[in-house]
Amino acid sequence: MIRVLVCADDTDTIDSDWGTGELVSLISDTMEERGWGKSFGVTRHQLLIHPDIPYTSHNSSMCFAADLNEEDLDALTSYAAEFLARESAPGSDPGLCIAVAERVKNTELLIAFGRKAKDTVVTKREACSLAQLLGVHLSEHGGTGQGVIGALAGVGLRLSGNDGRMKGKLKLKSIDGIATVESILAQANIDLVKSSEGFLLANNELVRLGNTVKPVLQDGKYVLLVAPVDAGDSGGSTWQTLTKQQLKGY
Amino acid sequence: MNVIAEYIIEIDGIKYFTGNSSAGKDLNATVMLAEACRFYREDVEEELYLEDVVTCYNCRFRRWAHSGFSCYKGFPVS
Repeated sequence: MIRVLVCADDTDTIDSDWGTGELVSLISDTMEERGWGKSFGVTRHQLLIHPDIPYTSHNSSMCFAADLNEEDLDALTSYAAEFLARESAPGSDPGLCIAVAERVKNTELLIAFGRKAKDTVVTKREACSLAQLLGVHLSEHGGTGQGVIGALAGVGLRLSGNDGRMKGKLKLKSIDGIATVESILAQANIDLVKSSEGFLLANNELVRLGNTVKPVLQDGKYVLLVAPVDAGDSGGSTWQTLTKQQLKGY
Repeated sequence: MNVIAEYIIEIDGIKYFTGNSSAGKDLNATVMLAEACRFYREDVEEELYLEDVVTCYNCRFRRWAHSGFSCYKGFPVS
């Protein structure tokens, strides 16, 4: 098995009924259905908001990591490229990046590019040159192909293990909205439950589950972030999951 | 409250909401705008900003700016 990272950007327009995350999820699902590999979930990565960047509405890219049968890499690459070319919205500028983690010639450069794209305007030429240098698949599938910038950046950020939040919301079993840390870890692809200040919760601690149960990536792990519960919680929990607004910075 | 006059500014032909989502009054203004807007459409889940509320912050036509956001429909309420 090889570890791959698959990321797309700029596949939709303002009139689309779906977002890039939906297309990336479908690629991930198909990969699993065809027995090519196992996905570790789709994450969203925020890039720079700047007048010189032609983003649609939020400038984020969507990425998944997977363990893939080495012999299925070409099939996944062909499928993802054809899928994006076919399904991306007319008028969009889709880009696709697929990196094999252990074959990236300089991981630090790729991660640095991802971080740079969060606070600097980077060019398509810069992205293409770096992808070639690092031995990473980077392809454009319509329009200006500007999406290659976010696609490469998303792979770098996912590879860093310290950026992004999971696509979708987890639905966990609880009693009156409260679950132990042990139960949370047993039910979902979550490695740790921590406070936003970095305090690691013990297995027996109680967490009130809000409407959005959504882990973030920290140190390569899926971490469910919590905050001290509002005073007077009747269920006895001392922690509650972060709201969408609190998660915006991740 | 005249939300348009109080919160919307126009720069180079683009209208921006200038409020702060952390301020209750400003957030209420975006709720008023969204509830009165015939174009309001909830964004995809991963781009929602607030939970279970109809607000410009959650709208598909909201475009984040360095500070605040603009509206692809130009805040079409009076």
